[in-house]
Amino acid sequence: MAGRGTRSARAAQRDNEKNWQGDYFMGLFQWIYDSGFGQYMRESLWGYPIALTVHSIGMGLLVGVLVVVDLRILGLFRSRMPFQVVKPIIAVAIFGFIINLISGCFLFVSDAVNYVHNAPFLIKIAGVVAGMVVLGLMVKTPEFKRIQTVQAGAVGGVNLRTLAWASLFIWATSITAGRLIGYTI
Amino acid sequence: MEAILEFLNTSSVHDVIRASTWIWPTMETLHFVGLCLLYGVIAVVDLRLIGAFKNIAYEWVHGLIYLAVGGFIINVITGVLFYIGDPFRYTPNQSFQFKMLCLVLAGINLLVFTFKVKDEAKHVGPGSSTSILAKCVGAASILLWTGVIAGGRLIPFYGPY
Repeated sequence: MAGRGTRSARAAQRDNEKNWQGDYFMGLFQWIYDSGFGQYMRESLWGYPIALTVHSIGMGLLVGVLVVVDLRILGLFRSRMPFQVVKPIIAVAIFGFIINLISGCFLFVSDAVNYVHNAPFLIKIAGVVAGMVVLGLMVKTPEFKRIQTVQAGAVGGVNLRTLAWASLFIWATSITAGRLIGYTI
Repeated sequence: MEAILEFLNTSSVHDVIRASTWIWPTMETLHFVGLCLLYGVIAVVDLRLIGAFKNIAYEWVHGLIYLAVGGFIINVITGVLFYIGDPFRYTPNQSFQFKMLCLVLAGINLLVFTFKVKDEAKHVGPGSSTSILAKCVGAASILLWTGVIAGGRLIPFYGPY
């Protein structure tokens, strides 16, 4: 008899989501999976590919801009890029986050029950939440506000730098985990 | 053409890439990292060229292009390795071909930027507008690089697997 981890067993499990019943909250995710929205995303030819493409674009914007922000806080480009550049470009990152939140919901409903049992997916969501929390913390530090007004050369102090390192690590983890979802679902 | 693909498909590089199951996902992750560096910087630079964020001097964001080039280099390396790893999959794939087309056009656009736009853009201070050519180059750039991402992302949907 095939073990739980083998490909055929996993495939059988995916085809028969009843195996997930009994888990906490499964009713909610089963409902989402069964919904018209979930069905559409599974059955439509273009729904999933378009959502996935938007999701990649949003990732490029969100993570790309936040990496720039983090690197600038840590001092990279400080002689060429005054710190006041950082705040306006965060808007680009937020735009990326919003389109990923939306496209993420589209992707999620297509296979809700299985995503919620997927370790890389859960790590990614935790990472995204943590990353956005860290972003919020960064912009709220008095230090961030202070060095906005100083011309080229200003660098974040210890607390802001620590947050910037944490941010880099969190986003690297998130995009790695996101990439691994497809291999483990 | 077939001979070249056959050569790549049996090369030692090909064998190394396919030796362990972890190599491909690792390369994909690096490809994503490169994508983020490249696209995030391109978006900021192009938006300024187009005319957004007027109170930033163009010169201030120009330095970020080094980061974009770094991301691009990571992606060229991983991209070439992907191609060698599965040349028969990628070559006939329409989405891959579209991606390469966008890449070439983005490269041409970059040449236009380097020789016709860059020097003038460096004098664009806070509050100033860029030239029409700069706006066109910026718009073309962000569209083409978005096309590169879309083309890459849709490869599995246009191929046998």
